[in-house]
Amino acid sequence: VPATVYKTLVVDALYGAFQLLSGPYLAVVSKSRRVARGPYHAPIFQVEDMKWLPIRRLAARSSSAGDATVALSPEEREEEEM
Amino acid sequence: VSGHRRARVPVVALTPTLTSRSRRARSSWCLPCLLLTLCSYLQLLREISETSSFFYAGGGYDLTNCLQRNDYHAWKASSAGGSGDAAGAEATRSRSGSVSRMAGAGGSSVTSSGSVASSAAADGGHGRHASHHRFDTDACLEAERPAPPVGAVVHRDAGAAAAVDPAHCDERFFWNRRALNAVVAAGPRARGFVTPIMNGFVEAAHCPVAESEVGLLLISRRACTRQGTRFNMRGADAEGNVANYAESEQITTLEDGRLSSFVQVRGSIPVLWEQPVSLKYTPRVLLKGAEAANHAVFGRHMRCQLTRYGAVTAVNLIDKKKDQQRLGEAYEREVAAFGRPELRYVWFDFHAECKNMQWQNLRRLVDLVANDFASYG
Repeated sequence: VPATVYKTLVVDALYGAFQLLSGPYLAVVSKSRRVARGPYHAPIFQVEDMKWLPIRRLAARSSSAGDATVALSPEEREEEEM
Repeated sequence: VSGHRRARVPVVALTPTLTSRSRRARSSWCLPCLLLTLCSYLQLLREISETSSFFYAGGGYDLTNCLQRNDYHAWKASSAGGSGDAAGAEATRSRSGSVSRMAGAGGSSVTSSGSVASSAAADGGHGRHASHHRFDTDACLEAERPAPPVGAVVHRDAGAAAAVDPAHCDERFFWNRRALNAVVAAGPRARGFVTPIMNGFVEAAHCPVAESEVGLLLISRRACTRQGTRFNMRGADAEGNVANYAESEQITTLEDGRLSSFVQVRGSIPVLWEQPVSLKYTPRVLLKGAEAANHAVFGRHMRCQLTRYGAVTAVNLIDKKKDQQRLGEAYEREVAAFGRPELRYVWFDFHAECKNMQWQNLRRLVDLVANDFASYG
């Protein structure tokens, strides 16, 4: 995790990116619950809560001039590790 | 407005309101107001994503596809990986340790995984139409109806299960497909970020049967096209998507690893029609569009079903009277004009047959489609 990102948010999944009137947003699944075991013991999760993160603000938080996706990727790396 | 003489009055009445509102908006278009608008907009989005939270995702399992299609992709992947022959397959098994076998109704340990039947029901007025689809591995063309060949043992590598290939997902049930456009476009590198999310319902249950445990899993997938409330969303659109289409899958798992999957789909009657709400208890059904347009829409819809599911038995459950009869007859005409032997059509007047809660009369419907069921395996 680069030192330029000072806030890390753990998310369960990325829902997607949306262009709203106030700018680009990322919709992330911030809370989920395992509801069943699917075939081959694959867990099936139900989305319980979603967060809308404004990308600009996130990007501005990182002191480097990197774009929003760079600022976000560490969070999502954690998601992958889950 | 749109050439209707009667619509003139509301326009005249509306015009001053509109102008005054825009004038007021312009004068008070200050920052707090703008922020308030944006906040409430975001709040609205939040509420949508939280209150209707029947969104699901599978961990390493593509929930947008039914079991058979998932197995097909797993089988393709494993055979493409150079372990297509039996020896290679054995090697894969010992490495991954997670082997699944699909068994047909015959019950032999390794048989066709093509014994999946599906059926559909559609809302027509108060009625429903149901159709049964089947996967037939014997007759299937691989490209058309993906299914592993008869006797295939599907291997699943636990390590490779982490990422789902978005190209294999069923677009109809992949609710965040558009929102993930940029991520999907980034290619396999970003595949770990792609979580296909499905809207619908999932529930699992376990029941003990003869000293072993049988797992039951119900997965219901709502299509992301043409969703809407009753009466307000009816029939098909120009692309052949029907209103409130959903695929329901019942998966049964046995302790020895055998699985069976039964898939049904339902949707609104695939012709062009409307049922605008009125003060009547049952709003009138309006059949729309020229014959050619209806043929085109119906063809698009049914070709899509046949391609995905194989032979289809469409069960129409609407009434054989009044508006619903006209609708059912339109449906019947389209089936006849379509003229494909893989599409079988059954009209079972549910309300008449089962009136006064005579549910046992459903046996008649079961008898009507018994041969179809038998052919699904």
